[in-house]
Amino acid sequence: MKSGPLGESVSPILAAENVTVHFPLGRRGETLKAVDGVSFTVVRGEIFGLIGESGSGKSTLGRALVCIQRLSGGILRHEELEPFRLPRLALRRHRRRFQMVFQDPHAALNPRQTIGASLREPLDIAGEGTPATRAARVASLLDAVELPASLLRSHPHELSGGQKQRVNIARALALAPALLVCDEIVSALDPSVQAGILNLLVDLQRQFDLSLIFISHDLGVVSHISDRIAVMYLGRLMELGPAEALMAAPLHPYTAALLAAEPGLATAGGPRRRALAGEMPSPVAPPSGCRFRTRCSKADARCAAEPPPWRELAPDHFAACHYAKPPQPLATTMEG
Amino acid sequence: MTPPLLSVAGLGVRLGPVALTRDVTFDIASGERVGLIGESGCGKSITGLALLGLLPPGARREGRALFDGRDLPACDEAAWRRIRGRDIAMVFQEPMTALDPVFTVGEQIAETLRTHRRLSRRVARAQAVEMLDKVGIPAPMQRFSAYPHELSGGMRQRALMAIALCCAPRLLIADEPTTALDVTVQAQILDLLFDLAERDGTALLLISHDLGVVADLCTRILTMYAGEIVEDAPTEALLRRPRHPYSAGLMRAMPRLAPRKSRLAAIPGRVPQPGAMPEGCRFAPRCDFRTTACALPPPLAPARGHKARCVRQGEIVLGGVV
Repeated sequence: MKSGPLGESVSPILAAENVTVHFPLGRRGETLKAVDGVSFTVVRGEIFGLIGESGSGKSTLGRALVCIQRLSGGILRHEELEPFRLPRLALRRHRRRFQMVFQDPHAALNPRQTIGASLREPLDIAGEGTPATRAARVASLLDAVELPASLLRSHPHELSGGQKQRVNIARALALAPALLVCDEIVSALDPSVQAGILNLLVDLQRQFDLSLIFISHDLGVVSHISDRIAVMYLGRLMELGPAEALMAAPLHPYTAALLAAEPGLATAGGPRRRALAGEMPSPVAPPSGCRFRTRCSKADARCAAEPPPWRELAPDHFAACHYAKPPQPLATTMEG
Repeated sequence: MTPPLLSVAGLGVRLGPVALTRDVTFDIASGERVGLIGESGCGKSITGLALLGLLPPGARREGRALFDGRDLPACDEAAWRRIRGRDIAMVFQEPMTALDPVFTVGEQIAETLRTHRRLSRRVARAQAVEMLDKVGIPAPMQRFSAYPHELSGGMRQRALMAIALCCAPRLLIADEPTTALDVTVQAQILDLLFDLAERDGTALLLISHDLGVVADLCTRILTMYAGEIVEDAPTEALLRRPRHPYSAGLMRAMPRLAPRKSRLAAIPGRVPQPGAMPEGCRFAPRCDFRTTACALPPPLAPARGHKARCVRQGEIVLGGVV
């Protein structure tokens, strides 16, 4: 069964096995369980979307995946390797191939450095090539993110938000990474600028055969760009599946609620949907059993007693819900 | 025909020699829900502030704004104090900075009531609790004594709405009220805004950069670009067939409407800066449809119905999204 572009016959570039990241809170021995047992793999050349609301742990997970954040448990693999088992210096070298781009394009750049110097810094630190080849590399990076060479001597304040985010992407690409984690990188940008960055990411992925993990709270953005989507809630994955299938027929009630909460152009000023009630509970004391049960209309005693197992309900389409059913041939799977 | 609740004509905001907005003209009827969309720096927030007399020091308002047939004062602070919070109220984007951290949310609601209605402390308190309940805050009696930091983002935004709505204003201006919130909480707040506006007949001016949010709630949408209103249309007409290339561009840039991984239509170039506006049509330098006719400033035309500030609106056919 398992073959094709997303099957196991393709070696994963990244694999998370039961990854947890806990932060001790000091007082009363409490623990904030930001990421609490997450498993998935990312295939080479894939754009993997990770969606969740604030407090879901998606950013902490993203940081852990590029080894900026230590794990509290579980195993992280980059290709055949376990990066957290590497000695310090080897880990530092290894990190070049697993890079991250952050949300705030202004904060990520040194205001006193020119764009050229910013792009050159990672190359200098890594000691790649000769000064002349580094200069050439800087020029080609700027070209790759579709910025004019005239910006090399500019400072960040002279650039627009979209241009700055392009510089940040170029910077992350400087050391030819295999995988890029993009954490809300278009959230701070205006819609027309956001569109340009999304186009660029799709192009870069193809051009450099990159693997991307694209983290966002915006369903529209994630579904546009991703091959597969993982839905995170309170430190755990609720659903994981091919983007089209997940958007067309979500298996988990939380995914369905997220889709229903999208402000609609179809309903234009018209009848109301009923929004999901309540807010996400604290990750310090998550609910027993299913984490989503406190806001789920289908929850019963079983959901409080047993954590739902992670089940494959359709090819490559997983969900953690006691009551999720395999999708029917007709689109009649989500009732009520 | 009844006169509109708010009638704005030729409104502009100047900061020294620089015009931030100009010729902003629109009406809002009683109970109507109108959206104002545009990207950062287009002047949508400053327009909202001008309608509340909250312009920053040094900024000056031009043009006329009639509220319920009466002129909104240009700069008379005492007159504004009687209007603000009672006739026209505002909800801001960032609920943490809009609330005072050293007073409980209940005290902040009661303060507004006591200022405008001269109620006793006891009555104001009772009404504040009622208001907290009305905006969907659970356990309102206990929440009256909660400080802003003790509430979640969604609850703070509800508290802010309780303050804005406690004197039953006839016009509520909401500036990006859901931008800082998660989608599920955003949906709750949009539902609440809709219910409150419907039930009390409050008119709404919803300012946002998100066409989805505005289309969800409003029956009419104003599109703003580089300090000017460039399109004024019923929501459905705008989504079906926009008449200004900028509105059409905003729609085509929306990823949720495009086929997966397809190229999105980013609008080339940058928004012009105040003080360095192109002569003629301000969108022309970024517009695919520009001709020599665009060298003159186009009017917002026709006078009624679906208006656009584009001389070619009769000739070009732009694609909508529904």
